[in-house]
Amino acid sequence: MADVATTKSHLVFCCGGSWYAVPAELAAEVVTVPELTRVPGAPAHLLGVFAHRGEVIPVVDLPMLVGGKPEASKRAVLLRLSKGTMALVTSKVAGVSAVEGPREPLGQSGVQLHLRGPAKAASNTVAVIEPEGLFELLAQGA
Amino acid sequence: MSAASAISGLVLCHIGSQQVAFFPEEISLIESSRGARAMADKISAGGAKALISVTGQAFIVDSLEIDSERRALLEPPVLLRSASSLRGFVELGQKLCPVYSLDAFARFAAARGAAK
Repeated sequence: MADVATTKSHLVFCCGGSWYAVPAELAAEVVTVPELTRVPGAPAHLLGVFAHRGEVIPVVDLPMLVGGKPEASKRAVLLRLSKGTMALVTSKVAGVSAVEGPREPLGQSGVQLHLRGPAKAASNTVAVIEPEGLFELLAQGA
Repeated sequence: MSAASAISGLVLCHIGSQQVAFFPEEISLIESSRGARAMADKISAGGAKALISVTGQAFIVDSLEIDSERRALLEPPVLLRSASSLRGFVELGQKLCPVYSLDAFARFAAARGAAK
């Protein structure tokens, strides 16, 4: 039986032409990203870092993680998670919305394991990000 | 929020458009591209420099400067902690500059073929 749920309060945003949703309580803010510092040896999806209120924030390009084209936007959704902070690049933020529909992992491994759906939110088909799992995966150097 | 510690004294290096920093105590020698050896405080501007670590690892930079400002060393984010040579970041103007362990970074660069 499919894992189907309806939950409120997800921040819905677009990047790389696809829509994503994250639990709103984990989305601290939407920030304008200044010029990034590239980190030698970092994976390609880690676009760089910037300073934000005395903290070093890594910026992740989600489309690159799932095999798409890089997102050129200067905006990002800053996620504060139990194990750290990261910012996901976004081209458009639809706002906070209820998410309805299946929450099946979109793949068996890697990043897709931490994307669930296909769900619906704000009139869009969205992949619901499981942020803690995604973060742990990225922290392992994925 | 990440913890920060205060540091004073860094060797700021330019490699192409990138900037990285090292702790001076981890540099045993700075050698000019002309082959003449000189210590950090005697280096004149111009020409590539080879930084030699205390274990003899070499890393070549385009140019360098000594920074004596007291700065906050910001912790690396969790997503970058697998990079063992990264000690943290300092803010230089509006931008961050990564601070590395010279020895580990030189080994890393040599392994990746990035050393010039």
